[in-house]
Amino acid sequence: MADDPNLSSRRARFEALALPHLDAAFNLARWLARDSDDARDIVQEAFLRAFDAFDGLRGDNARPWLLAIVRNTCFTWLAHNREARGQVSYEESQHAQSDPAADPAWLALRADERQRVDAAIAHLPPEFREVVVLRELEDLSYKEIAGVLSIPVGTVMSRLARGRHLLARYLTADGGGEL
Amino acid sequence: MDCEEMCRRIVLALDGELDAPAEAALDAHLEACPACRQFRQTHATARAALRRAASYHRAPLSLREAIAGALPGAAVDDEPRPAVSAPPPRRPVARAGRGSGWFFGWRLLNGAGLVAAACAAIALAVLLPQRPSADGRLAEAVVAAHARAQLTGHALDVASSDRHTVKPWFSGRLDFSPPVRDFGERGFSLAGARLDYLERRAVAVLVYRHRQHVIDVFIWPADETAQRPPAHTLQGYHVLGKTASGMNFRAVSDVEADDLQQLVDLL
Ligand SMILES: [Zn+2]
Repeated sequence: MADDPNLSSRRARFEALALPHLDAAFNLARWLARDSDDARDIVQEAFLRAFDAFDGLRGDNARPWLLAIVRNTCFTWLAHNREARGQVSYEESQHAQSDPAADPAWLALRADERQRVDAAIAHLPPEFREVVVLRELEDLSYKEIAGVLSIPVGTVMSRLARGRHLLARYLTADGGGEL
Repeated sequence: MDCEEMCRRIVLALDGELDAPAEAALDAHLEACPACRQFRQTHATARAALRRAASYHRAPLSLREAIAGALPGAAVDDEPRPAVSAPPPRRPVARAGRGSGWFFGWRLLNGAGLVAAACAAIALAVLLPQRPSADGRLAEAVVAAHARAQLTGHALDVASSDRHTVKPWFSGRLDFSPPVRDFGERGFSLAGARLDYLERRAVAVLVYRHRQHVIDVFIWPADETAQRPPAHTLQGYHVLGKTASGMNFRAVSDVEADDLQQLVDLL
């Protein structure tokens, strides 16, 4: 470990492959945890886990590999912490400092749609939410998503179909009109 | 053919994961089946709304720093090695309290975390400026807004190379009137514009294309007189700017810095 002379080159390689996906990691964690502070903790832990598991990475595409670790860390973390804390209260847009939708000055024309879409995603059951986020926001292929979640491609498709269906229902139900 | 299979194909087709023969059969079915057309409409609308409007949560800078500080190993690694039983290093988590103990506690058993503390400062110096200046933070925000626009497909609210279309589009949406010009003959063609958000205010963004690259130019009113802020390079993006004629300009792109400078000079 600390005595490994290759540690710094290993670290350099890890930074080159994994750090570019930090935003994707945070976005996924933030959507799964629905809380920015929790997402920070989760992502930091996931990166340290990823560093330890780095030798298991095949090829140069670290993104699905890293997102799988983020996702697993996320569920472990949530089970561990939220259980102890009891019911989660999440103010969807209160502390998302990097999120313009959180600011009342954000342009009304877009804020309205953004808030509704964000609320609809947040409302999805987690098994649909993660598929939707990976597909629509991260643009992963079905195959990559299947790899991240360790489920068959057919299941990715059916969850995505179900997720979009629910979203469409939420969006038309509360918005008082079309999208 | 049965609608259940067709609905499955609709989902695949929307994601570009359906092969051509299957798609042809789907199209034929859609012609004849209103229920499946309705299904497709519902899914296409939900998908488009997500891609257009969902928030993309970018990692805060402080998280990047915290990770850099917590990773074992660093560019320089000749500190004396503390014993595994030495007191734990400062916890790299930015906020105290809930959450992180179980993982970091476990982690310390392997001893690698101890080196991390010693090397954190070096790692930070390598990865990032430790305390970004106001202008550095602004550059961060510009890069974040640019990347967000690219990722979420929000690059353009109005697509036009005609400044007589773009300029009036801003009026009524902003409390100032940004200068709008096309530099197509110089290799920077105006593609359109959008509104974005920077420095806690709505700002104008002109979107230019230069070869295959997209350049965002953020414009908002300036308090100061003419000046040139320092150039920044963050996450592979260059940020250059100036203050002139009562406006702040910040251009951001992954083009060569020289090309970006050329556009900034034209503005
Ligand atoms: Zn049908």
